[in-house]
Amino acid sequence: MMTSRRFRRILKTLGLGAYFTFALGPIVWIAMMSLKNSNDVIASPPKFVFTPTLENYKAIAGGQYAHDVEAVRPDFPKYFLNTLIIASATVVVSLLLGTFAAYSLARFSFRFKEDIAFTFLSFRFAPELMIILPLYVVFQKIGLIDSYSGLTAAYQLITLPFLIWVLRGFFEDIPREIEQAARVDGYTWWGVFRRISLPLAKPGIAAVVILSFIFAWNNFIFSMILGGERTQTITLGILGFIGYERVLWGQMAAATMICVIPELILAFFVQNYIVRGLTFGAVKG
Amino acid sequence: MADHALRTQRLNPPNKSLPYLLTFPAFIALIGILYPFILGVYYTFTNYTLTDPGNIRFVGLANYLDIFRSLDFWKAFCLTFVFASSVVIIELVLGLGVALLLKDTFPGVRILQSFLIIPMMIPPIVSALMWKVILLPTDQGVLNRILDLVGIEPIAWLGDSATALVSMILIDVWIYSPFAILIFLAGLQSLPKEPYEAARVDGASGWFMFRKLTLPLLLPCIVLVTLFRLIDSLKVFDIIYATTKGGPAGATMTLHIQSYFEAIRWFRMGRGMVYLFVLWLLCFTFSKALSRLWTKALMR
Repeated sequence: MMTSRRFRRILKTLGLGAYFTFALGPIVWIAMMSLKNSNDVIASPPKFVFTPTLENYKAIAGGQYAHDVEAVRPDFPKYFLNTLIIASATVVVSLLLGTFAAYSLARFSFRFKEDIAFTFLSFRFAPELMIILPLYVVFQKIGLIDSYSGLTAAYQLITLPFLIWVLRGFFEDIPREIEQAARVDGYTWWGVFRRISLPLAKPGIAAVVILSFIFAWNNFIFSMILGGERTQTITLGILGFIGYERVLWGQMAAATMICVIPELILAFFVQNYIVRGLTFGAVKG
Repeated sequence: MADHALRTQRLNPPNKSLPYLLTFPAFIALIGILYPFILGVYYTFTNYTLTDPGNIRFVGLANYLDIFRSLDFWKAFCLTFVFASSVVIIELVLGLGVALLLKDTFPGVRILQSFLIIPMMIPPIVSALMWKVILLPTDQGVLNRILDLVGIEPIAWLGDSATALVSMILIDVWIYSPFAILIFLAGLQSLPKEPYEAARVDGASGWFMFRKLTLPLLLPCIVLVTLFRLIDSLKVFDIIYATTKGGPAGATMTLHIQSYFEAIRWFRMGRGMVYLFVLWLLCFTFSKALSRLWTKALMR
């Protein structure tokens, strides 16, 4: 009995060890690459032991005109700033549009309610290009291609349905008795919403905001089709490190780390809400 | 999702128009999504080319007939299904397996669980690029280097049409198996205790309990993981675009990627939209069927 239990424990450790090596190995490798100098990074076979350097981080922080070796290099600080602007604006707009909708879907009953909610949900499962390509035609006509406002509007497709569905769940979690008691005390619906529902849903709202921001930040296909030179985001810009004429592996790795680290820090704050967020509120987790 | 209506009895709105007023901004946004969608469906019946936007002619079903007769379409169609079903099966099995290993508490389990979100929070395009580096051919790539240590010859991975799709599956499994693990963990942790105690009293084996209790009780989770992963892998785009762009020799040319090439690279918007409409129909049908199945599984 004892030996079989020990045997099981060894198997379990091996299984978990194998999986987490697979899950974390690539990130460790890219982190190592980002600290290699330009010779070590292209060494074949790859080097596991090397003297770390920050030259890749310095190079991408300098943007387009740092150093003089390469004529044109990806302008990483600009991409970072663009992504920050677009993702933040997207989340703010979604929050303004979506919070009230989520509350009204959670608390009031009215005609076509479930139809409206389900139409929103169905776009979570539609291929992105099905919407973006015609949108590209429309944007071209009205001159919104490669503009911050155009991208912010289009990014609503990523964040708004998500925000409405998940927030709706958070509002529904608030016991209705509390709201009813406040109504009896003479609060208007607005008073109830502002003084009671909103504060009680605050942790949920914070989680939804952070996750929406991450989804907007991570998006690629929208900015590829609807963006351009001026509004280029990180996800698009990072492809520029691997061009036809040269491959800047080290800088690509450094850019990857800078793109990913702020997100991971944010994600750790909301990890208790991750399951709920990723399933559109289907699993309360 | 659908249990909202069942679970809560609602407050009556203070006046009838208020809920519509509150949903109105979101409703406008919905129109903003529906309009391009309908426009896109209209394009499938036209000869719209991006190089000649002034000359849009209605051509009826010509695009559909043309595409349904082409070998490229059916190849992309099958490839999409092979990719999607492979990743769904692998992620279900791997996800459940790892979740079972992580469900009991032991020192460090919280840290391991929080590591799980890392691959999911990285932009997929960036993950794909990371893997592109790891999967470099010959002994330049670190994975080949590691395989070399156990005596396996270097593999061309993304560069060979025989292994490109396998590499893509590997990348997808890396990114999304944590999703399956987290859902299954949530499911396992909310399982009722009583049936297990009763089964143990009856002297049931672990395997028997897994088959007769855990699996049926986890059915809602299994359906949910299948729903999200199946639809998202049918419309896979980022990781293929970042690595092979459909190549080599069409070995990773899925419907979504092919639609991009038709519409944007070859300017044939009408044809591109046909690919997308077919893909949308697939996604819509499967998501509808699976979400119904999910509601049913929850009610049991």
